Amino acid sequence: MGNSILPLTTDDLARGLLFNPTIVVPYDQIEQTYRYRTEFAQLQDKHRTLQIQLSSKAVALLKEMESK
Amino acid sequence: MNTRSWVNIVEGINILLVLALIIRWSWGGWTPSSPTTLYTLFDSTDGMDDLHAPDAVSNRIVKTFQQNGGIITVEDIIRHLHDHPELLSTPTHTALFEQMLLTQTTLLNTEEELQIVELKMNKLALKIYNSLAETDKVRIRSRRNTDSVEGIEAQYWNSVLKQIQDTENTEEPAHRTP
Repeated sequence: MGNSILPLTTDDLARGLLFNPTIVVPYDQIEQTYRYRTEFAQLQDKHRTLQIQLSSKAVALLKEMESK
Repeated sequence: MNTRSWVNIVEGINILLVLALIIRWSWGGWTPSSPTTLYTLFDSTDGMDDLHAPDAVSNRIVKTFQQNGGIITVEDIIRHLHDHPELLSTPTHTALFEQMLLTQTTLLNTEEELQIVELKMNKLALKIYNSLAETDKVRIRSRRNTDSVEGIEAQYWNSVLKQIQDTENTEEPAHRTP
């Protein structure tokens, strides 16, 4: 995802840990990664929504200017 | 004028209106006076690959608009308004422009937040990955596609397969009925 410097993505790592239960990592690190991943997804969603809103407002302005 | 005369006049007007509509239809059809704002993105000349390609709709929208006079971005509008501020001539224009500016500022702030969170997330994931034993690293890295397919997608495939089997089992007695 993005310009990741990882040899695999965060999602790949999470899936790998999920399906290889013998690999043990500190709980707090996994929990924190999950928080970041959730926040990242929410921000992506917000970003997409704002892009749509900006385009809609630009179209509304153009229509308003053309109607005069 | 009696009632019968009025009825005749109204009937005459109706006949004239119908004739006028028929003449208009035969000359120009029922096309609206303004050009249509609907565009066909895909038609019968498109193959299955065209429909199912990644981002097929977005890419076709761009292509269609390029063929119909180019694409105008929000940045193009802002640049034009910067050169022609007199175009924002009414309070409504100004209000809409201010809303755009506010949205754009929020958008840029969100982009900044996205980059910060992504950096933190990747750093932590890398820290976790680097703390693993070499054999575990290899196992996760080499099986990442298999893990994804077997662990995630397989559930959907199996669920669909079960639904089909259940449907077939439910319908089977009906097929046997003569």
